[in-house]
Amino acid sequence: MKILVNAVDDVTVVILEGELNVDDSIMLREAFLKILKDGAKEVMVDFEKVSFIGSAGLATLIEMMQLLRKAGGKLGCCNINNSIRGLFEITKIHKLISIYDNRALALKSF
Amino acid sequence: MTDNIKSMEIAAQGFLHEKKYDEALKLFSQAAGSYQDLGQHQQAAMCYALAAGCYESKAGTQSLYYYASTYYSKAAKEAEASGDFEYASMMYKHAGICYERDLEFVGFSECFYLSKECYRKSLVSNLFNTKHPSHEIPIMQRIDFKNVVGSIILWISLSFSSLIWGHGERPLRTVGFGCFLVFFSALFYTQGHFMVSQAIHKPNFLESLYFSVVTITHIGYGDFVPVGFNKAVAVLEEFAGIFILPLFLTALCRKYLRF
Repeated sequence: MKILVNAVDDVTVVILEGELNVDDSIMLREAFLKILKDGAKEVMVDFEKVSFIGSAGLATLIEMMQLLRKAGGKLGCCNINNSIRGLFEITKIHKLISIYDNRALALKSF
Repeated sequence: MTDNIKSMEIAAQGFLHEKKYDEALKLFSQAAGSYQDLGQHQQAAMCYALAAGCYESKAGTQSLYYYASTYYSKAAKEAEASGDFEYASMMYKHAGICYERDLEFVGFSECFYLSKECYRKSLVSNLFNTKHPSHEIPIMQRIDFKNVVGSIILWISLSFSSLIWGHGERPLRTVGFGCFLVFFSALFYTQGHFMVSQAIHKPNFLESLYFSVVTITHIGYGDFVPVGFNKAVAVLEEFAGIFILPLFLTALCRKYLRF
């Protein structure tokens, strides 16, 4: 999995590419912790190029949402395909994390 | 082992997208069990939640909400084991909703109570959990003080609600709390005085207990009139009594009128 981190105004955009499995989730968690250490409060994850997300990936997203919220920040996800959106809805993660149709809309809402 | 679970998850998600819920829930359930064996409770919680979702999706045409709620409960337990009480609270809530749809009100009551309790625990663990990776980040960066104050206030009110009436699901707690208050107030009354037939009287414990019951139930015969320090205790007891009786009746009705 490739993880690319960009800053757009005050929002940190994390662009993911590939599959989000157990090992990739560890990588993602480390990347998130680094972002938090750097003081980011608003983080948006772009799922446009993610083809699969496993339970470990979902668990990592929840953990990071909680850390960000504790710091007074916010985690959002955008460009989620229908199958991943379905998983978010089944696991009820969509009630914890803001989901946007595309990146522009997400950045506007942050 | 991990590769095996990974392939199980991939296959299960494939079945889920094809709406083959039976196959999907079997694999999600197996994956959850494997994660449980490995001690990876967060992942197990997710897999159980996905299995529950499969049952819930199937339940549109059949009465399968009971099974969905069982899996949501399992997901909640796993989330609790991993220390993620907020997600556990949400899973218990959904388990409760599914139980209610299945007209299984005992399960609903228990899940509603557990959901509130997990939420209460999440408020504390968010602030003090040292196992959480947030300890790797400097404290000033990881804590928003507005959130902290809000969490503390919410925790106090939820703890009070839990103690007094178990979030509306434990009417016996109200009885217990009421009895404790009667007994405790009676002990205080023995330290003060009453006016009986225009004369100051030092009450024994039984007289104090009698006065305490008459006060909390708002009967107020007037045969014992509190004096001095006892007046303050009586006012406080009476004030508590205003809330305890309605809370008991509400909790009782909430719990037993469902059947």
